[in-house]
Amino acid sequence: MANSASSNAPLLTADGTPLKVGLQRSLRRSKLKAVGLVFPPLLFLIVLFIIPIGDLLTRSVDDTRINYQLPLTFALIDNWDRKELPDESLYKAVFLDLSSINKFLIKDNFGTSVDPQDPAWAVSIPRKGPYRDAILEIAPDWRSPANWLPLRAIAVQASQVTGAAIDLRKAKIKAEFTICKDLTPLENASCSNLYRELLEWGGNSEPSEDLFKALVKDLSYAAKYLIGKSSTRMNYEKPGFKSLLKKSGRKFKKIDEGPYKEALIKADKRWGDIEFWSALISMQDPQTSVYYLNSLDRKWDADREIIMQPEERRVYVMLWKRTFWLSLIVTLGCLVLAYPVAHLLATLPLRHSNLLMICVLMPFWTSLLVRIVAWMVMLRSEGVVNDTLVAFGWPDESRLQLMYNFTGTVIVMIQILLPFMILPIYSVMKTIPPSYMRAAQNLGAPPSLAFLRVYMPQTLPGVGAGVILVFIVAIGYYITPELVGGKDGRLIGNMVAYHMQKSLNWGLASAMGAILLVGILILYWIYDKVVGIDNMKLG
Amino acid sequence: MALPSYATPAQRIWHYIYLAMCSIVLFFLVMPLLVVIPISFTSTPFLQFTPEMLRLDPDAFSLRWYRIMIGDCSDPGITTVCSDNWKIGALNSLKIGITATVLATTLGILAALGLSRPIMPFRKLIMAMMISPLIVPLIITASGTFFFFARLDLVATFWGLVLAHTILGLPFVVITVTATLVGFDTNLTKAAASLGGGPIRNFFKVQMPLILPGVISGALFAFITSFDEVVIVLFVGGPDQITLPRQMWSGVRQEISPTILSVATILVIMSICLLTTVEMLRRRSERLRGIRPS
Repeated sequence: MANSASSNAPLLTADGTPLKVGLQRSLRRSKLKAVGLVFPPLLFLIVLFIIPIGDLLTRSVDDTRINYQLPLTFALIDNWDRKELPDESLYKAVFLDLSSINKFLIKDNFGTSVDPQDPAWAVSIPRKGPYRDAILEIAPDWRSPANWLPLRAIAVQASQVTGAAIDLRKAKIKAEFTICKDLTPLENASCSNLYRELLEWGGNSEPSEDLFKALVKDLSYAAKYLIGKSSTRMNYEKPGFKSLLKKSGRKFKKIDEGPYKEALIKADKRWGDIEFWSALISMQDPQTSVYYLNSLDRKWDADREIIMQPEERRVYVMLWKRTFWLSLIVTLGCLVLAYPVAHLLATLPLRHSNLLMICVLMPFWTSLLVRIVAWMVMLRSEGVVNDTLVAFGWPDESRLQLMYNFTGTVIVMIQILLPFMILPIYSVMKTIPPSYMRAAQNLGAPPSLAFLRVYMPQTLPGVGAGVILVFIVAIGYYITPELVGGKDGRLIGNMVAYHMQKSLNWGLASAMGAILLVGILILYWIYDKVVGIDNMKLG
Repeated sequence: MALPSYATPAQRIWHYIYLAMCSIVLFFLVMPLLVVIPISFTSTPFLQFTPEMLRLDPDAFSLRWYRIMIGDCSDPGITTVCSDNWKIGALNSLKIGITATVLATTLGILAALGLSRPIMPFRKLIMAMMISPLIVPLIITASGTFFFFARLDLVATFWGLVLAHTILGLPFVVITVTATLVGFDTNLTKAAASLGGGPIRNFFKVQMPLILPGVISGALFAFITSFDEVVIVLFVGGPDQITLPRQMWSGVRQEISPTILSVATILVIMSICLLTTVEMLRRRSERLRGIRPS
């Protein structure tokens, strides 16, 4: 009786809590411990790796700059029937957007919500001043010192920095950027006049005409800077836009009043070309797919259909294909070379295989640049390979061109990536008992059949791992093609670098990077399915 | 691997072809690195074996390019650039590499310890994220880092490079330490805890000595990754941060002088030393784990 009662009662731990609760509690505690351990590195990785890459991807669709540049035009452009040239109101909008700084002063226009009826758009700021009244008409907020004080705080803080001359200078430049960033959507415009005047002002009197003058000067500079930046983008949409805006900037100064349609077309006859206006429509959306289209040699036409770029501007499809082919050739080359070596390493007695293993691992551990330099010494037209050939009677005048082309890239990349193929195949072959082959031959299979039907299928996981790994690494390669690739060995990675550093077409670089990244993530996912990332081993 | 005595002639021929192929591949792997070493001792400014060198004439060899490398520009015959940049670069690379390695190793051990607990939620996803810096092409990482660091004022700074290199080194530490933890007997920490050791003391006294080989080889991987990294330095380093790979990069892009080969030779020797260390550590780890009762 007493016995059955005690078996029905819940089991208790030493301190009297039910066992179930105690177990759950300890489970939760150890879970928390595990999460607590992973949390700091994970946070570090998310902040410094995942977020920057996400940020890069948003750049590939970001088109807000044009909206900052042409807020009034884009607010009105939907009224246009798109068949004939737009009417006077749109011409006036373009004129105001391109020549006035009102867009920075009418506060909530950094986005897309613009009221075209706002009378502030029509206020013109006299070229030689006085500026105060005109600005207050556009944005009355600037009357009170409170509107200026936060800006002054930035300048004051920078002026109080102590240290070496270079630090002072850096602080000043940074403050000038920060002030501009507060006033405009721009990150790299410099508000040097305001910086100076704000410090002069003192902060306790009414804002003086000098301050307003500095504001106008700096905003005009920012507007010019914005035109420079956005016109590059507009040129991607319709070649000729950049020079049109540049010329308009000069000519618009002479236009004082309407009708603007006539005046603009007179200033540059391209304003009478309907194609430029259609191009504007395709830039209206703050998100754009143009960079993705461009990175595949495509673009929008006037009817919003996707068409191919003109023949002479097509490069990227060819580059994607080349990158893919080169990666494939390198992968297959590595496989063919790696398989027998991995087999030899796996079947030799340990004492010998260790020595050979060093041959495989040594390049793996050597600096990538050292290996490339070594190959340059080998493959140059006066290099070791050609010299050896000539020494053996090869005609001196027909030395092989082994570098700065596709061949060179393939040779060097195969050597660099070969260890990535040998090691996974080797580690799988190591686990295959040699008795299987013997058993197969014992049962009457000729060696080749035994190899094909018994040995090879068992090595496939290693082959899969090596192939995917090499392909992933090869497809994103940049350094090797850059140094030994020459013109026809350049790959997508080099194009991304070119647009990042030289042409500064960051949207296009980001879009190409995004496409590359998606491809690689798919391969990574397959790799995880085939091998499992837990099984990734090094050396 | 010897052939059995009953092998047919065809098998014998095939076997020798196979051995020849393997030797050619191994030769292909190592030869470029070995060729660099003798040429770096040339006395001429040419990157080739001169006839005098092939005759082993002692006058054909010299240390002049090594002298230029360490910034000794007293050699009257030199026409190439001679500056302290190699020295500055090597020092800077060492500093960045060591700092990044310390950071990556600390973070990597934490991550590996957490990920090795069977109870960890989203284990696979987190593992995939931890390894992703290894998979994402450097050029993409470098571009993303550049934009992000520009906002944080980290471009062209020492710490910017350290943080970026820490990210690159992290996966190596996670992989190697997780691999050693697979064979780790958790009863040992339980025993230590029951004997009254606190968790931190237990970690350093019991767990750490056993996973140390994995930690060290992960740290070496992280170090060599940072020490050899050029793409991120080109994007994020600005003009101020000279590192050894960057110096090599600009040397290769202009005219290659034998000075680069001297640097290369030293790096090859360094890599052999590192390789030996890692190999010895791996064996030690296997031995330690072999002792463990299964």
